[in-house]
Amino acid sequence: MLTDNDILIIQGKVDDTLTEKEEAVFHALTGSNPDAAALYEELLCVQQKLRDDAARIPAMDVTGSVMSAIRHKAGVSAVFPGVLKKYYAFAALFVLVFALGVLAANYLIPPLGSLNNEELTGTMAGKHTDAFKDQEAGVEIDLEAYRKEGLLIYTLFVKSRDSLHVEFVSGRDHSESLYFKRIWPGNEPETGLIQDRQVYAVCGENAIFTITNPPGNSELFFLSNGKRVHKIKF
Amino acid sequence: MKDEKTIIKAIIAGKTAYYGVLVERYQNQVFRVICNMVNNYEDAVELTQDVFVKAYESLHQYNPEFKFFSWIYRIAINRALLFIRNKKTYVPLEKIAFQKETSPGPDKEYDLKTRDAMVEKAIESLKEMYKTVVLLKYYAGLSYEEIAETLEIPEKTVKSRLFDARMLLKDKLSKNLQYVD
Repeated sequence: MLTDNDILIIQGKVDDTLTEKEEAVFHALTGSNPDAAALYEELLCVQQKLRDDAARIPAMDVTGSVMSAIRHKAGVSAVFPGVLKKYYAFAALFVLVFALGVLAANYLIPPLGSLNNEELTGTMAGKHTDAFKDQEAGVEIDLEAYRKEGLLIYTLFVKSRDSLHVEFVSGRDHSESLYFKRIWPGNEPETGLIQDRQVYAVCGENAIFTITNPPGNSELFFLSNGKRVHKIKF
Repeated sequence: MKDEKTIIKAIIAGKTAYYGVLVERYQNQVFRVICNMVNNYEDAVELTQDVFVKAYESLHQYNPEFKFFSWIYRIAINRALLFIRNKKTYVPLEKIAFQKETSPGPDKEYDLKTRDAMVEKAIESLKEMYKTVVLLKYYAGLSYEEIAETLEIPEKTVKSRLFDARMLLKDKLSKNLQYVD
C-alpha cells in the first residue's frame, strides 16, 4: 500500500523535480515495493504518450502578423485617442462618406449652363396658376406664381388681337398701385387708376405684368369692348 | 530587456515593438494549448494571433503581480472555448479516429496516427480541472509553481490533480490501446 508521500515521491521522479535526498528515498521505495515500481512505470508510460502527443504539434510563429495587426491598431488609436475612439471613427466615417457624396454630386449633377430650358423649369419656373385662351377673340392669358425671398410674385402674360382692358382690383387698399405693374411694354397705365381699379389697355400686342404680394380677394378682370372675357381671383 | 514587468511597462508607455518579445516568448505555449482544444492547426494559429492582439489591447488591465502567461492563458482558454461553441462544424475526435483508421498507409504510420487521436480523445474526456493541469504541464510546458500561479491554486493541489489526471489517462489509454495492440 502506497502512502500519499510515496505517490508524491514517485510523481516527483517522473517530473524530475526530486532533491538528492528524495532521490534516495525513491530508489529505496521502488527497490522494496513492487507496487511503487509498477506505478512509476505506468506514470512514465503516460508521461511519454503525452509528451509525444505534445511534440506532434509543430511550432509556429505569429510574431510578425501580431505586430503588424498591433501597429495598424496603434495607428488608428493615435488618430482617434481615448475610450470614445469608436465614436470618433464612426463620425469620421460619416464625414468621409458625406464629403465623397458631395464630390460625386459634382460629377453626377450637370452644371445649370448645360441644361436646356425644359430642364431648367424645375429650378427657375414658377407654378402655373392660370391659363386662358380664346382663339376666336384672339385673347391669350397666362399666369405663373413664384416665391422669392418672402415675396409672392405673379407674372401675367397677356396677348390680345383687339383692344383689351386689364383691370386689377386690390382686395385691401384700393388706392395702392404698387401691387400691379406692367413691365412690358412700359409701366404707365394707359388709363390709370379708375375708381378702385388699376387699368391697363392692351391692343394688338403682347404685354407682361407683375402682381406682387396681392392682398387676399384681389381680382384681375379682362374686358373686351366692355364685356368681361376672363377673371382671376387671388 | 528580459524582465517581464519592465517589458510590459515599456509597452504601455508606448514602445509597441517590445510586445514582440512577449509574443516570441509565449506564442508556442499558447498555441499548443489552443491547438489541443480546437484540434486544427490553421484555426489554432489564427486564434493564437487573435489572443495576442486582444491581450495587447487589454494590456492596461494586466496586473503585473502575476506572470504574463497566467493572464494570457485565460484569454486563450476563453477565446478557444468561444471558438468551439461557435464552430458547429467542429469534427469530433471519434470521427477523426475513424477517418485515420480507414485511410491507407503503412501499418506503423497507421498506429502512430491512431494513438495520437486516442491521446487527444483521452484528454478530451477528462474533467475540466484535470484537463487544465495536463494542458499546462505538457502542452504549455509549465512547472508546478507556474501552473499553481496560473490557476491560482496551491502547488500541492496541482500535484494532486496531476496525479489523478495521469491515473485517469492511464486507465483510458490502456482500455483504448487494447484494440490497437
